[in-house]
Amino acid sequence: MTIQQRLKEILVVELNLEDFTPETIDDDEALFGGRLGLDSIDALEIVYQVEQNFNIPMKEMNEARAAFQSINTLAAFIEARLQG
Amino acid sequence: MAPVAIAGVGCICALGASYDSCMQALYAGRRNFGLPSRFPIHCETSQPVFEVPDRFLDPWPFSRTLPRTCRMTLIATEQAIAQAQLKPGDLTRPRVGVCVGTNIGVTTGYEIGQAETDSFLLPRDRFLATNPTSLVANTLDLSGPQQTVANACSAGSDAIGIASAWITAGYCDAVIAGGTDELTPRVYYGFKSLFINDQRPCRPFDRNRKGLNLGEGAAVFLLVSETFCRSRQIDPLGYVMGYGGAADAHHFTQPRSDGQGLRLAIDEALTTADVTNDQVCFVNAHGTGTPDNDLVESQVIADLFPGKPFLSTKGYTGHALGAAGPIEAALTLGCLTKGALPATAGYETPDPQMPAHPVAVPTNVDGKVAITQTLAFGGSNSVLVIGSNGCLS
Amino acid sequence: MKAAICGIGVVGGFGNGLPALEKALDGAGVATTDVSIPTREGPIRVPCLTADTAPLADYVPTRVLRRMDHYIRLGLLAAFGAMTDADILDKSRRGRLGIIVATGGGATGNNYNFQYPFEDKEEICGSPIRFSNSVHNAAAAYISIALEEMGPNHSITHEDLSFPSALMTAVTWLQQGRVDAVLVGGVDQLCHAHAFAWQVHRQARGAVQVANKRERPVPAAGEGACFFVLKAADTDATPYTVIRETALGRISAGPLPRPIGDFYILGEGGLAATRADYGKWLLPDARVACYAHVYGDLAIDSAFDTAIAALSRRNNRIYPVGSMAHPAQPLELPADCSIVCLKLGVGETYGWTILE
Repeated sequence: MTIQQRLKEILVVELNLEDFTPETIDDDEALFGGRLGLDSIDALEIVYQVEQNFNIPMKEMNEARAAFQSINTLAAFIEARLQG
Repeated sequence: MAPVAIAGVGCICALGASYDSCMQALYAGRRNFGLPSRFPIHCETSQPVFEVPDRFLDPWPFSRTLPRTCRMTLIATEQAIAQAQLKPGDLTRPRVGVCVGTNIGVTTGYEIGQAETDSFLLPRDRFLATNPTSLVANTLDLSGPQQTVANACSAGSDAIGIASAWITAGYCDAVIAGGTDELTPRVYYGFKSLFINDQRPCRPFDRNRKGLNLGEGAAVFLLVSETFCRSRQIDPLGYVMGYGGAADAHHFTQPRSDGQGLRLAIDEALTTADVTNDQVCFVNAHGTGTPDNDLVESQVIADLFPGKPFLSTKGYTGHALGAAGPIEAALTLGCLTKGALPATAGYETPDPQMPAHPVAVPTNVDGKVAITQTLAFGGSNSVLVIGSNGCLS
Repeated sequence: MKAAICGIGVVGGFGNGLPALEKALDGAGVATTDVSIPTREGPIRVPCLTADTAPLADYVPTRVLRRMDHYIRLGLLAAFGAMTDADILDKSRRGRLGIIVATGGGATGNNYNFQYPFEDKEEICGSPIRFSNSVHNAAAAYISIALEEMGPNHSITHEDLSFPSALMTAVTWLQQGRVDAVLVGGVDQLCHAHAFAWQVHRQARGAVQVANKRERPVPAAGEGACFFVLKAADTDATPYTVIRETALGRISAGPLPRPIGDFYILGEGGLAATRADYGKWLLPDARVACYAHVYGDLAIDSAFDTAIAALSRRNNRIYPVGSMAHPAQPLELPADCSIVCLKLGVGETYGWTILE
């Protein structure tokens, strides 16, 4: 399973995105300010889920903020941290 | 609302083991923070906390099997009763209520043994042993109403407000009113997950503030009716003059940027106290050290109390959640009585975005009335107007 | 006269809304759901009265509900029900509104879920959504956000006496003139620990005896929410009933402060259920009923009892389901009768409301 697919499955479940499925979320669409309707608490939850599921702890929200544009940017962030 | 007499105050927090020692440490500028000592830190980052050391609790005859939240409540209660020069037995015949605000105190009974469902066989006994309100009422054999307030960070302030209403409505002759909360792993890591803790000791209203530090403690006011006061010839330490509360109705974790909820709460508190903005001689702000909270408070204080000194005491106590309001009400009363404010611990550099700045050095104040305000998770705003012993004359 | 009940919203194992509650009170069966509870000896199945919050979609878009857990949704649904019933959902008709939410156990389902990471994983960090939702004022906060209501907001967690305490606070606020109306209610969510405790304690006892010693089967563990809109007693609105008296206290020395009424509804569930002795509070010929079979065994049962009392007063009748009345006693109530909702809690505590 790709990181993108895994992320989308996690987000749909953990953020309770009842109107969406992993298949209906575009990998390049904006996570915030777009049709998903995510806000600051969701951003914190994504950080937590990334920590739990990919074992990537974050000390500051600023570390993750730039990566939160889309599923693709988040996946790239995770890949970079897993390799580094 | 008629002023409600404060016959005695009990207080135990990182500052000190009693109300008097807390005030001494406050004026000495002592900040007793450190890493959590009672549970392991598994995260990469560790944030300082303001713990109550065991040596503050050990001299008291309360069982160590009781949750810390409950022991601290019982200790603060005994202190308040003793300060009023009463004995616990003096409270059995009159109608005495208990109203305590807490977060940990309402969940501890479920946290104990939650990993083993089988050990949850006696939930009624767990409640009696872990709910601080019930514990106080049963220990002192009190017959009045009981209420455990669960309003997150403003729980303790709201408990004092509710208790004051019980006195003025004539339900009780006296109420043991206050708040309590202990530091637990669940709270520590829960706040960490919200990224609102500072990695350093907190810096309320400072330009470089990064967040709050958690604390713990308990504070209790013995509130009494005028009749009770006269019949026992009690000279009150001070008064709860007014109480106001309002909701932001905005966002669960972020305060309203216009501070409208806080403004409504201050307005109600002053109206119920029949006190003008000008008569308030200082404001004890919530001042957690988080970017959003402190900015909103500075704007509201600048608008409503221009030129008045204000401070945050959380640089000395941390944020003790449900206990924060009562601890700060006690410190407010102490500062009113002494006529002096300590410096705002942790504050060094003014934030240019703020229209008002807290006291950076010890500052004398002259007046009989002050305000203490608390802003809670979920958007609750709670304000108490505290009057000194001489405020009625 | 202290306060008038002008609106009621309910959700529970019987369904959603007053018509569903009345149908259950009139004798329609209330179905339990088997809930699987993990124990050290393997899972057990416990019949529970569970509540469905799907009708919340009539009031709030699903995207707004997204992060709200079951506990919050129960409260929100009953709150909207009461506000609609009182016709004050529209802010212009509301005046200054206070909100008070009582719970016995809080978001118990969420509390447990949140704590699982502590046992299972070395890296102990919690979910921010679950942590936020676990705070006991979550329901009251989300109700204020959904209603855009900035009045005083208050949450009480005091097990069996949570709702009587909330009601007393609501009446006090009205008497003080603090607010023009109060939305006050109780929410309790089923959780594994409660269901397990129910299984062990209540079922082992077989039947339950209350007051006049008639035996009835033990009501199932339940969940639900029940909210009221209260206004000052001299309101122009036509109330269900008025609250004449509220009381809250603890038995210390001296005689029992017995409430006097024509008919008593007893809150037999919650933590005190295994110990409370209602018999000593009542005269031998007291007309008594218990309705826990309709809504289940839960700490905020006195909220549902108050709703049933309000319906009884409006309709001038005692509902037959669960009634402990002597068979020869009629089920009609005189128009001027008083109903006492009595709740005994652990630690010798009590709370009552007298409606007329």
